[in-house]
Amino acid sequence: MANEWVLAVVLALGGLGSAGVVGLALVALLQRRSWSYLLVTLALVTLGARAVVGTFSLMGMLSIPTHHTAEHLLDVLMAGLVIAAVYTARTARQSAAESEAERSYGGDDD
Amino acid sequence: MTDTRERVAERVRADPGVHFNELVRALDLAPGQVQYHLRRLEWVVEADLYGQTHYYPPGYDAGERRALALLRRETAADVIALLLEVGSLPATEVADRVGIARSTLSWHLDRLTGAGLVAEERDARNRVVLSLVDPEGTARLLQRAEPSTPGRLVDRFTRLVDSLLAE
Repeated sequence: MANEWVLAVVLALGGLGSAGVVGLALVALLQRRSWSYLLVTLALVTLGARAVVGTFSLMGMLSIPTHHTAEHLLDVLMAGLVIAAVYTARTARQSAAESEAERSYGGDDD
Repeated sequence: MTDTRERVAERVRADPGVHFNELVRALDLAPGQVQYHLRRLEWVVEADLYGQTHYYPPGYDAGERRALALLRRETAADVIALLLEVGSLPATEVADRVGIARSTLSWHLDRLTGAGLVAEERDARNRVVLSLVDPEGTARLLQRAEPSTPGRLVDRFTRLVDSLLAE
């Protein structure tokens, strides 16, 4: 019983924390409107989804095996989204450099 | 004039370019209350800039209002402060000295040059060199611009993400 209380508090903290981070990411996404920011935001959403999955299983709405599969699926999704964000950051910069040659910083450093 | 209205008025005078949400938060009032008092304060100038509604006391022209909205962003203020100190500097060096990714600088520069605060020129080595268009005027505005806490957090979040995604 005591264990369940601890889990409930941890889930609440995790939920609040990830909601805050997703909020920040959404405002940043609105400013930047880029694929990288969209992917980073979705990756952070999977963090919040873990808290939701945890809450469902605490309430007995998910069996333990389903809970584990869901949590590890979210891990896979997060890793994939972060990798995609890193990848698009590179390709977006290349195409930006090609289309806006006049705005590249030029010089000897690049 | 009511007490609440005086508090709203004081906040707008003290913090030119303050956002609606920031007024609600800082004064601990209901959004409807803030809206009501802002409408009654006829001297308050309202401007929609960069996706947010800002409120100003009288005495700032359109260019200055735009500048104040930008200078409330911590990173933009850092770039301006560096240029005030050194005069002009290549863009790559500005990014290094402020400690931000080039993509972060580029995003802020789009707005700072668009608002006519920063000028971009090419030097003999074909590097983009940045300088302030009106250093005295910009310094005066920079002193009045105060970033809000949520604004600071978003600004730092984009700095972090940009530098993590940069190679």
